Amino acid sequence: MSALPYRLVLSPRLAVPRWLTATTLIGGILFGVLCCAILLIAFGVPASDLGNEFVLYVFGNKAGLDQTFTRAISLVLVSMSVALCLRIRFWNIGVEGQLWMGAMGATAISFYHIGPWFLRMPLMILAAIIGGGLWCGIAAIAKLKLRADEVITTLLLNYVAYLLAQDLLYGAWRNPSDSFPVTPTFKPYEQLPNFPGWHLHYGVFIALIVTVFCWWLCRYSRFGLLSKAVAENRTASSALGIPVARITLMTACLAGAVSGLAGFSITAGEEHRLTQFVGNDYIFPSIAIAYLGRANPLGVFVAAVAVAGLYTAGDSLKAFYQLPNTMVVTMEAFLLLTVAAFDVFVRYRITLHKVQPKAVAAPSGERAA
Amino acid sequence: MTATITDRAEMAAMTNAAGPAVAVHMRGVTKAFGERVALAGADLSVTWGEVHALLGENGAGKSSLMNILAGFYGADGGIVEVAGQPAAFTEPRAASAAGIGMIHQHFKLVGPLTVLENIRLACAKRCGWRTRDQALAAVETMARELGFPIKPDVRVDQLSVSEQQKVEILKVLLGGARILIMDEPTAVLAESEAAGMLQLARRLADDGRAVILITHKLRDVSATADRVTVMRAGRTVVDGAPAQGLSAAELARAMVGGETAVVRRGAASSSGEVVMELKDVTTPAAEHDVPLRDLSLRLHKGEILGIAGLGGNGQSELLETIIGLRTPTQGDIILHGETAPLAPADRRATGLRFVPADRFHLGLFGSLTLAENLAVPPLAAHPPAKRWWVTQGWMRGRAEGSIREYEIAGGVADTQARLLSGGNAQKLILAREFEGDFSILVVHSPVRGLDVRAAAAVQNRLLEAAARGVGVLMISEDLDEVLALSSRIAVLSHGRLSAAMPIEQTDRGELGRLILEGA
Repeated sequence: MSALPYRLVLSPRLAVPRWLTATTLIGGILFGVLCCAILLIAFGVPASDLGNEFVLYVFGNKAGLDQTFTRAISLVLVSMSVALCLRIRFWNIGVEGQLWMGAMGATAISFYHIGPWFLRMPLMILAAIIGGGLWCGIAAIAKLKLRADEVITTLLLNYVAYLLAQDLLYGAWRNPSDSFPVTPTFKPYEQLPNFPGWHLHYGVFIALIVTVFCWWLCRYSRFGLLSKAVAENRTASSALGIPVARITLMTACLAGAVSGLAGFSITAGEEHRLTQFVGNDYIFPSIAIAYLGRANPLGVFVAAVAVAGLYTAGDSLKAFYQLPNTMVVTMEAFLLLTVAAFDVFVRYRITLHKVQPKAVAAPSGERAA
Repeated sequence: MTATITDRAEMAAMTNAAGPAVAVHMRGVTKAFGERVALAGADLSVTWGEVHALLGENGAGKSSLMNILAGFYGADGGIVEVAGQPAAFTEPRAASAAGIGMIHQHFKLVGPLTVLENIRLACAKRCGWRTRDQALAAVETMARELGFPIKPDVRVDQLSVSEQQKVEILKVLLGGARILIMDEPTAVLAESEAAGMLQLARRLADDGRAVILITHKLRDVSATADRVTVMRAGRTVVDGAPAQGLSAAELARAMVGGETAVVRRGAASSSGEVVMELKDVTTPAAEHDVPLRDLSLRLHKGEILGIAGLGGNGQSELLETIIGLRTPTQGDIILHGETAPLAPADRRATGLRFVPADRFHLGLFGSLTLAENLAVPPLAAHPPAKRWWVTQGWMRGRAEGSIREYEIAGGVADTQARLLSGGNAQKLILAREFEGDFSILVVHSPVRGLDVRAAAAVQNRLLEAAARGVGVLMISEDLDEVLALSSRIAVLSHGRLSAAMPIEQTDRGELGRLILEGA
C-alpha cells in the first residue's frame, strides 16, 4: 500500500529504563523550546537575541535568576499539589483556592497576634497547612461521601476562597491606616528572611523540603505504592484491603496543605501582607507543570523552575518586543504538547523495517528469504 | 459421523475446484517483539470448506500468527498467501478486503450502539447500504440463513456474551469474509451455547468458507474440526493432520511437548471444622446483576466445594459478597465461627484469599509491574511488611522467587502486568494470593482461557492448598472441572444455590437438570 520503501513499526516496551524516561522528557522540552524559538522568530524577535532572552537574561544574571527562583517557589508548591493528586487520579483544579486559604490562615495568625513572637511563624505555617488541607479535604470528602466530581468541587471552591479573601480585605481585615484593601504589613518576625541582596527568600527551603518529602513519599514509602494501586484500579484495591477512602482523603489533604504553604510563602516571603493579588493565575500553570514533570516530584521541581524561567523570559519579551502576554501561554502550551508527544518513545520501541517486495509469489514449500 | 464430516469437507474443496483449493498458506513465518520471539517459523495451510483447529498453549504463537494473517501487524519473514495470492497485509482493512474476518475473544463492538448500528458502522460502505431499511433487510436475511434470532434494535451492551458473539459473526460475514478466524469462541460460552457455536462453525465451513478455530479445548477439536494444526513455542509441530487420526492424549502431548500434567483429586476432607458459612444471604437487586437469594453454604477445612452453573447466574456476585465488596441486605457471613467483618481488608486479615474470573478488573493492576503487584497485599496488611522505606530492590527481590516458582513467562519483575498473557496473569494472581498463611480460598473460573498445562498447574495448586487444610470454594462454569476437583458440589442457578452433595453421590444428569432448571 505504502509507497515508501521503509515503514515504522511500533512495538510496546516490556520494561522502561529510567534513563529513557529522563531522556525523552529532556528531549521533549528541548524540542518544545525549539518550536518556541521558531514562533518568536516568526513574530519578529531576531534569532541572535533569542540566546540572550532565554539563557542570559533568565539564568545568566542576578536579576533574572532572582525573579526566576522567587517565582519558582510558589510554582513548585502548587504544581506538587496537583502532582500528588494526579497520582491517585484526583483532579485538583483548586490550587488557587487552597493557596488563598493558606494565605488567609497565615495572615489570621499575624492579624490577631496569636501566640508569642517566637511561635508566630510556626503557627502561621501550621495555619496555612490546615487552611489549604481543609479546602482540598472538603472536595475529597464530597467525592467519597456524595460522589461529587472533584473537578467541579475543587474548581468552585477556588471562587469561594477568593471571595472570602475579598470580603475580609474589604471588611474586617482592611488596613486601618490607609483603607486600602490590604492587611497591615507583617511584623519582621512574621516575615520569611531574604537572602542578603536578593528578593529571593527562605521560602526556597520550604519548596526544597516539600519536594524531598514528596519524592520520598512517592518513591520509597508504602503510601507511594498503594496510591499507585488506587489510581489504577479502585475496585481491585479495596478487594485487596487497601484503605481506598483513607488514601484518597490523606492525599487530598496533603496536596491542599502543600498549596496552602505556597500561600504562606507568598504572603510571608514576597508581599509581607495579604493583598488581592496573592493567588491569581496558578491553575493552568500548576496543571501544566505537574504534567510536564510526569507527576514525579523531582520532575515537577525541574519543570517548575523551567516554567518560571519561561515567565521571566516572557517579561523581558513583553518589555522589549511588545509581544502580547498570551505569547508566554502559547509557549507553555508548546512545551506541554511536545513533552506529551515524546511520550511515545517511552511507551514504544520504534524500529524502521524495510518493506518486503510484495511481488514474490514464491511457489509453496520454498521459503522466502 | 466423523466420516461424513470428511466427505463434506472434500466435497466443499471440490466445489471450489475453479479456484485454488488452498485458502490460506503460511510457511516459515517469523515474528519478534523486541527480544521476545513470538513466531520462529510457523506453518499453516487451510483449505476451503474445512474447519481447521489451531491448537497451542498460551504464548505458543497462535494469536500472533492469526494477527499477521488478519493484518494487525506484519511478519518479519516467511510466506503468507491467501487464495493463492501473496498476502502480506499491512493493515486490517487490506486483510478484510481480501475476505479475512477475525472474531476476537474480546469483541470489537461499540457497547452503547444497537446491533444494527454496530453492523452498519462496520459494513455500510462495503455493502453499499444507503438507508436503515436496506441494512436491516440484509442483516435479517443473513441472520435467518444462519438460523439465529437477532434483535437489531437492542443495545449491544445489553446482550449476553453469546449474543454479542453472534453479532460479531454477522458483522464479519456481512463484511464479505470468506476466511473466518475464531479466537477461542467457546471460552466465554456455557456448555450448551458452546455446542451451538461449534455447529455454526461447521455450517459456515460447509457453505464453502474456511474456518480457523483457535482453541484450547481438545473436545472442540474432536467435535468439529476436519484438520488440526498444533503450535508450540512459535513453531508448528503438527501441520494440518486429520483431526480424527489423533487422540486427545496425542494432541495434548503435541501441545505441551512432554508428559501431560495430570490432575488428581484430593481426598475428601471428613474433618467437621467449618471455616466459612453463609446463612440465607440475599443481595440487593441492581441493574445487570443477578442478586443472590437466600443463599446458604458451609465450607469445611481442607475440602474443595465446587459451585457449578452457567455463567451469569450470580457467580461474580457470590465472590464479591464473600470478599466484602458487596453488602448483603440480609443474612450472615461467618468466617471461622465469627461474623465476618465488613471491610475487605479485615476479611483478608482473617485468612480469606480470592482469585477472580476477570483478571484485570478485580485481580491485577495493569500499569504496575509484576513486583509491585506482588507487593501490594503485604504492604496493605496490618501490620504492613514495610512502612517507611519500600525500595524497588526489595519488591524485585521478593518477586523473583515467585516468578520462578510459578513459572511466570513473558515478563520479568519490572514488566507491567498488563503485558502478560492470560495464563501468566493468572499465575501472577495465584503467586500473590498464595503467599503467606491463609485458610479460605474463593476461586472463580480459575482455568478459563488457560492451556492444558497451565490449567493443570493451577488445579494442582488448588489441590495442594486443600491438602494443607485450606477450605477452597471453587466457582466454575466448566462442569468437567468441577467434577474433576471437587469433593462436594452445589449448583448456582438464578442466584439460588442447591444443597451441596458429595461427589460420590453426584449424578451428571441430575446436575445438568439443576444447572438448567434450578433447585
